[in-house]
Amino acid sequence: MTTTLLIFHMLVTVLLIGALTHQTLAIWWPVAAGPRSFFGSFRAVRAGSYTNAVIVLYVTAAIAGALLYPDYRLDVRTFLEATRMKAANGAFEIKEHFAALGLGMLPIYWLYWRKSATEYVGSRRAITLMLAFTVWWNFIVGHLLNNIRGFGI
Amino acid sequence: MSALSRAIPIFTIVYSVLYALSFPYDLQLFMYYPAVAEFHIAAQPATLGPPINWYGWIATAAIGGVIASLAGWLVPERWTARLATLSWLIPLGAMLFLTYLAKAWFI
Repeated sequence: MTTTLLIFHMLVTVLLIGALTHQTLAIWWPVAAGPRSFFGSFRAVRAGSYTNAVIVLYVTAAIAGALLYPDYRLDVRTFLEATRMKAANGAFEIKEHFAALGLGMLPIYWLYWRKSATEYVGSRRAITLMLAFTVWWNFIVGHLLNNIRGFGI
Repeated sequence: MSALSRAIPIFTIVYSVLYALSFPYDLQLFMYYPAVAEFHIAAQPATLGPPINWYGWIATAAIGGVIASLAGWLVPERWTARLATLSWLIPLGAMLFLTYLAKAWFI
């Protein structure tokens, strides 16, 4: 059950990373008119259309992570402490804080994106970048911790 | 500015501040002891295994955020408009603060 949930958590996060990366690049590095490269096409999306999907995916990933937490606390963290892997513990601590703060950012993220394109331009760019950073950090740390002691717990 | 537009920035600001303070000051609403699958308000003996405070920190921040955003009706509209523009700075500050507190793990 834990392994299934762990894979589900990872797959949801992959979708979330895709949506947020598209959205972030689209507003921070908009494409110019004319022929488009692969990266140009990646950025040439209707950024606002990702907002609701990002919120649903973020909440889903957070719930899955919360359900996995007891197994992590009992089996993984105790192993990290016993083997004195302090940096791994610290990276996870930052991950849990960022994940929780991201939940609190979702309402303002939604508000910024539902307004017209000329309102909250800087704030919209900032909050989207912060959420993208959060999700990338959490994905990479989660992946590293999983490699240390993930499946089979 | 609609009522929701006025309430949301206040929620995000108060949620972020309360979460950032809940961690260093142990302001979790409750603790969960996964080894025995029990929730407790106060810390329990070590025989119950290690607690998870994270759920309690989120609960503290979320409840505080909702209460504050309801009280946000009292804040003048010109203030909430400015708060809405700048409210992303508070979670950013909370992220930096909590990362700083985690530095001991990397030294």
